[in-house]
Amino acid sequence: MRHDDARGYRVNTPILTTKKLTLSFDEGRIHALNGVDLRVEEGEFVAITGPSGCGKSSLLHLLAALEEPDAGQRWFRGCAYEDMDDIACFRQQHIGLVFQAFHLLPTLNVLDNVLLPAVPTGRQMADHACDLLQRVGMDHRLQQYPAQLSGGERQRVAIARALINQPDILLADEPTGSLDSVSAGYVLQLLSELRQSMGLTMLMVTHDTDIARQADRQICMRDGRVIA
Amino acid sequence: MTLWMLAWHNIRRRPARSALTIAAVAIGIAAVVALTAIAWGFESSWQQANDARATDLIVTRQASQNTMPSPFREADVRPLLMQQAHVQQVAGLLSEMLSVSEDGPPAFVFGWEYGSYLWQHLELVEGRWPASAHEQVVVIGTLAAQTLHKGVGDHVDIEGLTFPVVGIFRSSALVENGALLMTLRQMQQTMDKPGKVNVLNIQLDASASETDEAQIQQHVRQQLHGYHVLTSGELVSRNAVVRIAKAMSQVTTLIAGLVGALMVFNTMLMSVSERRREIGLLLAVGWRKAMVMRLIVSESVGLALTGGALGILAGFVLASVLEMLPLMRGKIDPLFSPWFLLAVLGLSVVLGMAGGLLPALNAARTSPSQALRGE
Amino acid sequence: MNSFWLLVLLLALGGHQATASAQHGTLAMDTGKAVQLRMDVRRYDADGHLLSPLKYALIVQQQDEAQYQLWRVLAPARWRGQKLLAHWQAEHAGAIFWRLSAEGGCLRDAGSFADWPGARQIWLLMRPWQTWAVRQQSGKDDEVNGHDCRWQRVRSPDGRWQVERCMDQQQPVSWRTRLLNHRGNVLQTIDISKLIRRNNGKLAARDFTISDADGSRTTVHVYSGDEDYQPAAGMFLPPEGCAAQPVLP
Ligand SMILES: Nc1ncnc2c1ncn2[C@@H]1O[C@H](COP(=O)(O)OP(=O)(O)OP(=O)(O)O)[C@@H](O)[C@H]1O
Ligand SMILES: [Mg+2]
Repeated sequence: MRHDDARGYRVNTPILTTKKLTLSFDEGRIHALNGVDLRVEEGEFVAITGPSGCGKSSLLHLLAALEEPDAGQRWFRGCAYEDMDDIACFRQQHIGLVFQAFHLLPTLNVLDNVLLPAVPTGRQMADHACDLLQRVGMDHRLQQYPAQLSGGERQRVAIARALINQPDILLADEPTGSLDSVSAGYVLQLLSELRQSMGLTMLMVTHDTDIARQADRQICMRDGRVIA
Repeated sequence: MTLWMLAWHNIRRRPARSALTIAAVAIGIAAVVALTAIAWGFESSWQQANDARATDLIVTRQASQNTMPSPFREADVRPLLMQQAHVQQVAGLLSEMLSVSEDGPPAFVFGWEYGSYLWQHLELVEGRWPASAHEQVVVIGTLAAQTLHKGVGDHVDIEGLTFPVVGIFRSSALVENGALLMTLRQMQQTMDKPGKVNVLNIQLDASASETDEAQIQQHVRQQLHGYHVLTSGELVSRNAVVRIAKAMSQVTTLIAGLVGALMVFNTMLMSVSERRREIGLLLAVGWRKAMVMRLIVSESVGLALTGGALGILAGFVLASVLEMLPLMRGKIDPLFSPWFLLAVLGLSVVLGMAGGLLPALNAARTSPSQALRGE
Repeated sequence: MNSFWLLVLLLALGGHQATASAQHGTLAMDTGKAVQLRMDVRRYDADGHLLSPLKYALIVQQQDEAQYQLWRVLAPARWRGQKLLAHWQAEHAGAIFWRLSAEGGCLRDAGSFADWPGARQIWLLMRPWQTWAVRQQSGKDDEVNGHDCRWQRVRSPDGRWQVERCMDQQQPVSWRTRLLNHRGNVLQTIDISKLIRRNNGKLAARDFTISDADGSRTTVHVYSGDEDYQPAAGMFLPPEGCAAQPVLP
């Protein structure tokens, strides 16, 4: 049985589906993705692995609608990306992004960085932001600036930022790539706790096989293709 | 956390660059404020002079582009004016700009018809008025007394003649406060322009309406060729100095606007290209392109508005300093109306928007994917 | 910011109507008409030192071919009221003149008026060049103080003087006028810096500078004027028993 949820998306369909996604650079000379077929169920934790340059980041960017594919299709809960009339709104409501390089704004303090994705909504989200920062263990550093934080702490702030608009999907591109193993362990544990408590779907790019093994499913890529 | 706060953080992030941009805008706005205030002040000071004299209509020779109307024979015109209905008094005036001291700048010297209504609006501060049309004496305005360092009992040399100062007066009009005043007869003699005036002032009776005024104006125009018949307001707005001052303030406004917008444009373009990654991030976390554009324009408007506010202050100071210069004393009376200051702030907003628009478009074209990949 | 100083200057100079013909430095006038001019004259010697500044009132009347001039010193005090009366014949390049004291009597020692700084320079300027025939219509194009102009040459009827002038191509203004002797040496250069429009619509110089061959300079600023002056009867008649001075060079 299919029925529509409050947001108008069909349930019981995969949260993300792609078909023959291709993406190339330099006028087709570099093929980042060569026909990627993917299916991710609601609440699933998928790890994406593969050698450097095989197209992992490219895939995440396509899923986050940061980029348009050369060919192929993407669906979110059965709705094709091309049919969405407001892609910025989709990104804001459904996608949370975490990067290897954190990408915090140096001029803003921790709280304001977390609030950044909520600025366009005009809503008062400070309480919610504090709440999230408490959950990532950063509530005592609200007024500090990114330069005053360690790498692990910065990533925790970035995670809080990714969650401020209560997304359905968290796309994390090597979130522990710049962290030492202790911080990395902490961040991972945090991510998995949050995922479970918030019912998130998570796609995580990682080079670490130990981490990948904790996922519900592993996807291995090579030369722009999913090979396993 | 609001858009404006974020914009403000970004402005403060590069203090030196922002300060330079703000300073450039401020200098331009200061010039606009000072010059416009002076131009308006000059106009309103003339207007005040005319209003105070209770003059309704003014007859002058057809104005060339010269700054003061040419002299003409009073007898050629007066009879016709006296014939018009509602005309109560016609008072002749001869004015010149003359150097009356060795080193000082030239000053206005007026000759007013003795016993005419023109004298009535002046307030005698010290001494006395000329006793007759023939008495070779001057009375001087309070400001002229200051700038010339002359008082009652002193003498001034005007065009090779020596005049005792017998009185000091105050007028509501700055132009007059800085002037020297004698009877028309004396002025005509001094300038060797017997029977000549360069302005005839007409006072209408109390029952005259505006249509009467217009009618007289039309009548006289038809019958007098080569002359202007103006209401006192028209005279002021046609005054060459007022016109030139206004034109200059307009040109300055244009130039300041362009330079300011270009400065803001340059700054914002640099800022956008430096912050490419951050802009990519904003787009990635769900900001619309329009929102990003608003942020950039807010920053540019913030810069321009700060510059505008500082410029208004600087303009105040500049105008007051100019007002104090001995050369300008008594000739300017800067006028700052709240509407004008608001308009200047409006101008800075427009200037900020103009300067920020292209950089904002540029920012909105950022590909988030590329920006976030970049090192 | 330039406009600031322009405004300052403008206000400082203030306004007046005044006339001196821009065309050739002389007063191109209708016959029977008289004008009155008042001017500030400042003469600087070759080293740039300002000599005593002078103020003149000048009344000029044109009668057929003759021009009458009455010069009166307004300042400084030591020459105040002294007059110079001159009669010019358009046909001749020179004039006869009388020098009068403030009281109206003759000044006998009036061989020269070199003691009035700038007087001679202005005097030379009064030559009736406008009646001289144009000898060479179009010379080379030039630029004087930012104005484009074209040189032309005129010569006095007796052939003793030549005048080169750089005429504006749009309006009858000679931006630079050079007075040469018969050997072609430049004696004087007159540059016009400010014009004024007269009641009759013609242009006149309000500010000009006369440079002499020795490097000295005279600036003239016409600060007041009356284009419709009514001369008193007998104003241009020399007092009884006064000897006329010879024609000036
Ligand atoms: N802007 C670009 N211009 C040209 N080539 C690009 C661009 N971005 C990515 N590529 C290429 O696309 C391919 C896929 O890149 P992508 O970043 O997706 O790989 P990745 O799997 O994320 O690698 P890594 O593990 O090193 O992050 C690479 O060969 C890369 O060189
Ligand atoms: Mg990558």
